[in-house]
Amino acid sequence: MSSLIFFMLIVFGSYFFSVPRFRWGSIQLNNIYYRETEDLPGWLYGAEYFIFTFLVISILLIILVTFYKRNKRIRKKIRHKYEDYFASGLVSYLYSGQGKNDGDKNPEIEGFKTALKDDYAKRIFINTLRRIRTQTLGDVRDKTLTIYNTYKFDYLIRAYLHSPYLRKKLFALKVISDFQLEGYEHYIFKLIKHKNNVLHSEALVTLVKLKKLDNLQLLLHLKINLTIWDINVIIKTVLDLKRKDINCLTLMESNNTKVSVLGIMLARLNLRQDLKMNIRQKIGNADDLVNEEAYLAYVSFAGEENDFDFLIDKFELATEKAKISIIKALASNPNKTTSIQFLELIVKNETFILKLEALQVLLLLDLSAVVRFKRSENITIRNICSQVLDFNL
Amino acid sequence: MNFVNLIDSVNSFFFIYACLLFIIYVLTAILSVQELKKYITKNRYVDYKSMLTFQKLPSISIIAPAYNEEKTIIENVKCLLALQYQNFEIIIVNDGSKDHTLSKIIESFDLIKVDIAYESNLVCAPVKAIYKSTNPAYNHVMIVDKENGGKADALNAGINVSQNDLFLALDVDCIIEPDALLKMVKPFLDDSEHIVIASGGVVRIANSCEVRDGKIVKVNYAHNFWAKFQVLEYFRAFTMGRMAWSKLNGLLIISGAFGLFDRKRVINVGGYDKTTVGEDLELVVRLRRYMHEVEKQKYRVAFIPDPLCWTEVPETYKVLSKQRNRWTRGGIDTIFKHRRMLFNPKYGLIGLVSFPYWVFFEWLAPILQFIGLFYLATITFLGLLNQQIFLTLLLFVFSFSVMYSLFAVFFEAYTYNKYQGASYIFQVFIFIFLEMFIYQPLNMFFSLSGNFDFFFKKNKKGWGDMTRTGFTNKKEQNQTIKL
Repeated sequence: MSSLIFFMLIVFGSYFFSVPRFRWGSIQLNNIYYRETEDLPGWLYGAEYFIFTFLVISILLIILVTFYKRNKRIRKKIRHKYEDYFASGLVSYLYSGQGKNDGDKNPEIEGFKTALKDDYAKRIFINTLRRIRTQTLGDVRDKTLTIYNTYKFDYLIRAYLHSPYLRKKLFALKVISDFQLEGYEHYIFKLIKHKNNVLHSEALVTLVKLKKLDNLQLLLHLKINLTIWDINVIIKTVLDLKRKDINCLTLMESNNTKVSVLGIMLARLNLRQDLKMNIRQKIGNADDLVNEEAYLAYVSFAGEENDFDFLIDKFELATEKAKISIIKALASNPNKTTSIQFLELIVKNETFILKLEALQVLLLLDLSAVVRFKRSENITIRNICSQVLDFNL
Repeated sequence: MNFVNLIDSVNSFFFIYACLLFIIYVLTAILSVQELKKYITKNRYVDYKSMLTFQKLPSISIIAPAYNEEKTIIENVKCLLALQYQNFEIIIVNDGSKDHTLSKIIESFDLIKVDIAYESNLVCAPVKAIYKSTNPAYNHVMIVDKENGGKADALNAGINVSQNDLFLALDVDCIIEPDALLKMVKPFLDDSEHIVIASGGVVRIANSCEVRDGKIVKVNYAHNFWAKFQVLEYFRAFTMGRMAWSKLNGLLIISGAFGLFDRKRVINVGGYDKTTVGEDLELVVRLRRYMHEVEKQKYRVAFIPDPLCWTEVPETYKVLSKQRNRWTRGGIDTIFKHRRMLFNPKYGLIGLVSFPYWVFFEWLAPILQFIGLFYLATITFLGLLNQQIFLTLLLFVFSFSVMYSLFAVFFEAYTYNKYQGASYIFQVFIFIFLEMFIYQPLNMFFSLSGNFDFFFKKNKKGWGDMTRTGFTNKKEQNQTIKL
């Protein structure tokens, strides 16, 4: 909007300086520069007008630079002042033993009311309360919610969720998840579909943090394109909250490959051994990411001889990262002979990095095999053997 | 064609060229505002530290070539050790230093020679030895000691030894913000539509800044006369120019001082080109060409506007001239090597917009500027100069240049606001005015000398020497290193 107004001012100025006077209803503006510009050819007049505009904009920019620098300095000072005031007041109140009931009055808490006049102060107050809540447990933590309710901040959060500003929406989501607020589900569902990935990631995190909501099953029905970032954020939140109730199987079976990856990763990280056979079915999947995660998960659950036989059988279909994990896992194969024979094949036929990994595992299983390879005619194998022996012996 | 027609044609040519340049600058400003706004909106509230516990993060090798860096190398490595990331290694490539760079690192980090096997995917000068630390605190530090072969050669040696998913090409004397790797990696994680092949970051000027324990503790506007101009130039180039090209996904250069690349793709394209002095530009152009010719998938070169890397810029006329001369030669070399991309629709926007821009407005602009000055002198001598038009156009260019630079300064204040104090604003304003009369003509001259050297001199691949003054104690740290 401001750009449009600015553009219209430039267009109006261009017109105004090319006519002797401008009349609009009863308003009349005389152009005192008309004599200077009337004889100029059109393009030269345009150039002079641009010069005038550039100079005006330059002056405005200098003013704006000065203004912004000053404004940022002042706001920083105000923020620190508020933060110190709220933090010290809240901490002394929360540890005073008062405030277990909504009816309890405390002069310090009451005193905040005068400070909480504008949105800015309220935001700082809520943030301070959030910080205390996330860092404490028990009574103190519970009392933070009581204070939140005392001040009836819900109306502010609702207003922020409707705000066109991203920062306000994000703030509201963080408050909802940290205070475990109920009644905002439909807002969260809406924001999950938002095109801004920070916002939809935050909405997903909020969804996971609100334990009463379904176990991410919502993702099965949404047509959103999860990114690796989203997957990481969701998994981090699930692990931080130690949630074991996520239905990994339905996520794994999703047609959306990223949701499927999420399900497999969660199954691996939550040690869902019971899903081993379902994961096995995902090996060889057309999607590289699903395929890789399936291998990594299956490797982490492999313990019986037939698991390793299966992995050896499917080795060629694996990505390089998965192949490395298989090689490393072969050290714990109950059938050492199979592992050694397979590792020897890898040393002879596979790429440099796989040779290196295989020789490192071989060193644990059969030192004589490594010594044999040390005399190999292949210079690369000899060099890798030297490294493996140098590092490990 | 008579003489008057000839004059008219030349006038029209210069007028159209200038108008195009003017339109490009205006578009650059508009696009950079849009892109920066989008970036800030998207990343303002990202908790980068949470990435430290992510399950799926690419591993990174930091590759830093070092040549005669004995006075600063220990501090530089310590700065790199302080970087926040969960899976990274530091590879310092000692490129045949003639001073005590290697012995100092060996001594300070308890290094011993190790037998490390690696695949020589890229051609480079022979590696003499590889060192690793016996101290577990430095177990992710590796030193590759090799024969001298130049920066590109050293980077190739580092890529050969590294085994991680991504590598960060870094000038060892740069100061990196602790969360730089986290911010640089983010585009590789959060783009589901494109393959991100590389990401570049903003390089800021560290001259006169206060540095403690390998970290910038106070940002000052450079005290040196030449560095003051370069601060403004870097504002425009990084905050405006590269941001705008990033918006179009048409970025052709990632600073050689600081760039994160997909290691496998770089190996696939043959690594850094040792035969050019503009290896940073050339690699990005070659990577883009590879994506269009071989992989044929949607890809992106990301650009991070956060100030993540601080470097020292030349403080003397002589060193500055050599640096700019080299940049020009590197640019021309890349243009000639990849000339088939010019106006070639097969390369999409790169072939139709980015590459032609580089040819007509990066390479040819200083040449045309010089021809224009010569032409101006000639028509003045012949009495054909219309003084009113000349003065109007001169004022036009001057006022636009001032406004454009001020816009870049405003942009910096509005977004990152690293520079403080009333004297900063006053000095910036003075140097914006001086720039057009001192720095711009000199840059034109340096560029012309680069063109001359490229086309007429034998040593078109030479780097020249640069005297670095160091970040903290200037008297102690005076040294001569190869750029």
